[in-house]
This record gives sequence, structure tokens and C-alpha cells, in this order.
Amino acid sequence: MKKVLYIIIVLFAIFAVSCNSNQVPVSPVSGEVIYNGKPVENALISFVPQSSNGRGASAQTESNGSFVILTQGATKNGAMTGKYKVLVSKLVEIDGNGNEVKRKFIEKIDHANPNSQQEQMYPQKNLLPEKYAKEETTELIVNVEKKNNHFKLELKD
Amino acid sequence: MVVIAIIGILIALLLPAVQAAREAARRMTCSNNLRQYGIAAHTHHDAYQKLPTLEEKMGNDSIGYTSVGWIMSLLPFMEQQGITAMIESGGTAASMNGTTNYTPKRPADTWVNNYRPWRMNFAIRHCPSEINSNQPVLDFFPGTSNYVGNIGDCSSNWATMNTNRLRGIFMRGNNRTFETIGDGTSNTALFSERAVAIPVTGEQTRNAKYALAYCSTTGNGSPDWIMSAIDPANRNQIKSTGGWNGWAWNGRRWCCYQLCYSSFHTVMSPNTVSAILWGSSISNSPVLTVSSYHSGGVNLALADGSVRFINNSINTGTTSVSAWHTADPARGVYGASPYGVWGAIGTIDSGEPKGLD
Repeated sequence: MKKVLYIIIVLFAIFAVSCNSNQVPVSPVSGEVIYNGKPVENALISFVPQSSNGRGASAQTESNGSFVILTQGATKNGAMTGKYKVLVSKLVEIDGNGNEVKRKFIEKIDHANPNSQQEQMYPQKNLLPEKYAKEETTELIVNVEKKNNHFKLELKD
Repeated sequence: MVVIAIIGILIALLLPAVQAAREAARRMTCSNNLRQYGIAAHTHHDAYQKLPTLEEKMGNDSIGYTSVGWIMSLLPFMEQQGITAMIESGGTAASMNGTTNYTPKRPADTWVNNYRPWRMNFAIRHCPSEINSNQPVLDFFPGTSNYVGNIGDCSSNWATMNTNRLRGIFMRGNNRTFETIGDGTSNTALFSERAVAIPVTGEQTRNAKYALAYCSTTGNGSPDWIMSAIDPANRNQIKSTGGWNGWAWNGRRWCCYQLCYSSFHTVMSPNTVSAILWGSSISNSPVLTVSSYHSGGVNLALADGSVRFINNSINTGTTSVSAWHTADPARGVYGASPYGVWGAIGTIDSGEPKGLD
């Protein structure tokens, strides 16, 4: 009887191993963005890999400045291990008076005349220091390790 | 008793294998469908010495033209002459209500539900793994389809479909020929698949596999920004914070030329999400992502007619670079793609004879 049980256990082990497919290995990465002591909402965070086999990862911050990083092609949240430069920006559109343009929620569009739905074009403006938006100038460098990573990104003027 | 238990365990082990075999069969049928599209494109090229454009025109100078999708020019080459013939003859026979009299030769607009040719169905329009192919017809959405054409790695304006930055096979106004595919037909994508969208309320859905996510704040058009539309707490959904929402348009109008019905970009890796910054004309550019219900990827037909399976984990290169045509002018028409292997197989002639292997 025991023999049968062993065979079943071995079969199950083979089955479990064979389920492992082609995936991007990631470690969990979370954190928050602070600018001049205040949390930043709706900022875009890009993790730019510094090794050739790395993969870019990204997130958008919540109202309390927190974020959870995602990588394309991975089946779990997180980023691959390795060194990254971190880009942080918060783009808004600015009208002629320098006010932020808020787009309205669009319930339904006029399908017969899609061109009529286009709104005016406004220039974009980054509300965070520009140095954090470029790989060459950002001072934010993180190292993602094989554990639960948490990064507090503090931006200064 | 023990014997029954053992048999029970063995069956439990076998069942997932049976399910996997069933899905493998569906994936092969889907792959055959894509091969049919590839062969139809080649036959079209044999007949006319060119591939169809993204926006084909049906009609003539005296009655005017209606814009339709590339698929309408391939119908005669995939045994669907019946639909073309119905458009040719027009009249009340081409209406669903039996009373509207349609002009012969010139089809109705692609969103007209009363036009019978748009309501016709045929098998190879749907991937057998698609779970939403038999949905009720909605206003402005006469019929669904899974298969879409390659428009490269650069996103253009929704309405004007700025032609000079469509770096894939399908362009507006200009026909590609196989000679123009400098990277080689075996290294360039032709058709792939995308899941059909189902609205939850109105025309909205938050399902990441088939929604066209749109942001009411703003963004930079990069894959990183598009990826940030996904809810980390539920990766199948578009998140409800950050001004994100989703349209349920993808795949719902099989005959149409507009981007979200007819085409895909090689920007985001398969089964992530499609996105647009709706509103201002310059950034009104969708990035359309392939998706399917196959396990771990999508099928894709290359321009040489062969069909390959693309893993979700395909290399997508530098994801912080914007896909909007205005944002990266250096890429031009023939510049290298920043989006790795995936971007390279989307562009037709960027000096990247990179294959999938």
C-alpha cells in the first residue's frame, strides 16, 4: 500500500514541476513618493533597468503616494532583481491661463462622428522637478533584491 | 475503498491534462485561422501586386465611397464572396428590416446594424478560445472579430491615422508590397489576435484583457504609463484610481477600419492592456495590445504566412519611451524600434532582421 502512495507522490511531484512555464521572475516592489515632505498622487514611476537583460517596470502613485510596481510579461506584481534608475514625473495639461485642465468622464461617444469628440490640445507640464524625469539626471537609484522590497522615493527641488 | 481513492486521485491528476489538451486543440484551430488570413493576404498580393491598406474604400466616383477595414478586401480570398456579392447588389435585400434600400456597390457605414452584410458571421473571424464571440449586437457594433492587422510600434491619431508613422504592414492610403518589407517577411508580423470586449455599463468595462483603458488625467504614452493602468490588487482589471477607465470597443466591429477594431501595435507585451489618452487631438493615440484566452500568449501570423505562438514574456525593450508619434520623432519611419524583439517584428524596415528565435 505504501508503494502505491509513493508512486502517487512522485507522479504529483512530476506534475507540479512540469507546470512551471516560461515566465519573467519578479520580486515584490512597493514604496511611496514624497516631494517636499508631501505624498504625490498620480505620479508615474518608471524603473529603467541598468543591465542588458533587465526589464522595465512601472507604477502610478495613489493618493497617499504609495505604489506597487508591475512588470510586463510577469504573472505576479514586482520587478526583476537588479539595479534600476528610477524616473518620476507627474504630467498635467495646462490651459492658456496656467490652470490644470481636467478632462471629463466620457459616458458614450458619437460613433458616427468620432472627429467631433476631439478636444482642444493643451501643452503638458511636469509638476515635479524635471531632473527626475530623465535617465541621465535622476538621482534615484534602487537595487531590487530577492525579497519584499520597499523604497521611499524622496524628491527635492 | 483505498482503490477507489487512488483511482479518484489519478483522475484528478488527469483532468487538468484533458483540459490542457482541449485548449491546445483550440489554439491550433486559431493558428489555422491566422494561416487562412496569411494565405488570403498572399493571394491578394498575387492578384493585385499589393497588400490591402488599413482603410479600404468601397464604391465608385459617382456614388461615393465608404471606408471599410482591410478584411473586406480579403473576403473574396477566403471563401466569403457571398458578403461581397450582397454589397454589390445592395437594395432592400441588404437590410435587416427588409425596407431600407441600400445603394448597390457602396456599403453602409461600418457601424450600421441594419446593414445585413455587417451582420453576417463566418467561422474564421473568431478564435475558438474566445468566450465572447456570441454576444448580442449592440448599437454601433454590428459584429465581432478576433483578428487584427499589424500597424507597428508607433501610435497615431485615432481619427486622422497619421500615415507616415504607421511603421507596420498596414497604412492608410498607401498599399504595402512584400518588396517594401526590408526586414524580411519571416521577421515581420502581419496578423494577430485580440479578445473581444464586453461592456459592463454603457460602453465601459474594466477588464484589462479587452478594454481600451483611457486616462482622464494625463500621461506620456510610454508602455510604463500604459502598464500603470493595471490594478496591482487585481491584475485582470484596470484600476479605479488615477483617472483610469476603460472602453469596451475592441473587436466589436469586424468590418471597420478604425484602429481599435482593425489593428494592433507591437508595443505592449501580449495580454497586458491597451490604452489611450482620450481627448486632445495630438495625444488621441491608442496603443493597441494583442490578447487571447490561450495560456501564456497569443498566436501571430508573420508576413511569410507562417504562424507562431508569442509568449507574454517576449522581450519588449525600453518601456519608458513614448509610443506616441509626436513624442519620439527620431524614430521616423525607418529608425530602430525601442521595444526589443517585439517592436522589431512589428516594424517592416528598420534594419532589424531580428527573428523570434
